Amino acid sequence: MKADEILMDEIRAGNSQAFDVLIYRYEKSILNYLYRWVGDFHHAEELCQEVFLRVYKSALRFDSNQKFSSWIYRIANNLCIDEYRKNKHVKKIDIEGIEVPSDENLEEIVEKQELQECVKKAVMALPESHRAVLILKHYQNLSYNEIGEILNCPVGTVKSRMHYALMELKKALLK
Amino acid sequence: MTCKNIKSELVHFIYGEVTPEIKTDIKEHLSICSECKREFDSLVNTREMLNNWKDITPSEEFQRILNESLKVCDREEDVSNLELIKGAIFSMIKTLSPGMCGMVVTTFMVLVMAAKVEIINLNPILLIICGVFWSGIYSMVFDLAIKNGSSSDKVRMRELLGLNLKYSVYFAFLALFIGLILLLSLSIMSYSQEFLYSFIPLFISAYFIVRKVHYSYVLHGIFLGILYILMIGPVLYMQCLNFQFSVYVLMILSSSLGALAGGATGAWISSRVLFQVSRRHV
Repeated sequence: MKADEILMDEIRAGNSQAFDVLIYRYEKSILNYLYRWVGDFHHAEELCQEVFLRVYKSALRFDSNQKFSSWIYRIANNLCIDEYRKNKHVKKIDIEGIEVPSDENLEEIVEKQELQECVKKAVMALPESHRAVLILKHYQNLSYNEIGEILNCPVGTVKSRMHYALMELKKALLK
Repeated sequence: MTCKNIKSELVHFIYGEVTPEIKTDIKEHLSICSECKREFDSLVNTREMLNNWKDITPSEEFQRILNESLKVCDREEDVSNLELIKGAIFSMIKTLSPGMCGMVVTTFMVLVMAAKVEIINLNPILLIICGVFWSGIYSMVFDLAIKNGSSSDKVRMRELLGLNLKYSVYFAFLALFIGLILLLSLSIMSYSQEFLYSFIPLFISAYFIVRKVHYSYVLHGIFLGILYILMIGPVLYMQCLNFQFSVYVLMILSSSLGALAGGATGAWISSRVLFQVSRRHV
């Protein structure tokens, strides 16, 4: 299997099939990352398309010495921040006001959906910098070092954001 | 490790981001401390609850729409270094010429006032040439920094200049403050009120800042102008005391060096700022 960075070299040389391989490799993880940022499937798909378009457009600027996965996540993250700022006026969810369904009925499908909705609300109520770290760590399963590279911050900052994020979620979800 | 230390590492422990030594310490501690164990269990529960938010998969339309968008999207073209430099020079002249004019006018007015009251005896043309040279170096490096940064998209570049407003305002107020102190000192030193006329361009600049008229250009110019005056300050001082060196040679050298140093510093500062901003706009 060719490394992502080699595929990027091939894209630069004009091989569009290499780009298809990259899309195949990353579409699901990038889509899910975006989805957990914006909370809406269709919006996440639109943003995901924009991420791949940006990757394609700026393929020449990609430095083969850096890791492709960090680069594409950074593009996705920047796009999310832009979106978040554009929609700043949208009413924020209050993390304290989230109601979690009771344990007894958790088996019920409807309540499972409710639980998913609660988790979604709780994650989306986190401050943007903490949310990014939580999504990258918990849902994307990246290491703190990689997260630091993507968000352009030291590992210590990633650690403290992750700690804060999980503590906030614990408060919100285990009431 | 104390309970406090253990609690601060629990989140990282759960996600497998602790060193083997800390991992062993935490495991041992959890087997004997019920309070920390409770905290650990609640964090594990939280993590498990997060898994209720399920992954999604791209729709069938996703690939088709993306392929269509890719067909119409233009990829950035590779440009040679010569074209990059040509573009940078053109862009420098186009975007920073008002700033250069602002800088020349500010410098010129202060120096003419200084010459008028016979504190100094300078050749203003020489100073203007040095000033333009400095501004040129500064803006060229500035422009190249933008072009070689992670964002070369033209639309993004405009956004970058817009976002730079915050820093420009800081620089401008700093420049105004330094300029006012400088002019006031010259007025006191020369026992002359004529220096006070030099406040005029500074007040005009302040007006531009307040009205945000071409802030990025005007402010760069003012910033450069004031720094330039500060750079040649020591030379002016030496001349006031009738220093016995070949003053003109010294002036050319120090002004050129000052220009280079100032340009490089300015470019470094702005490129740092821009890179920070542009990382957010890949």
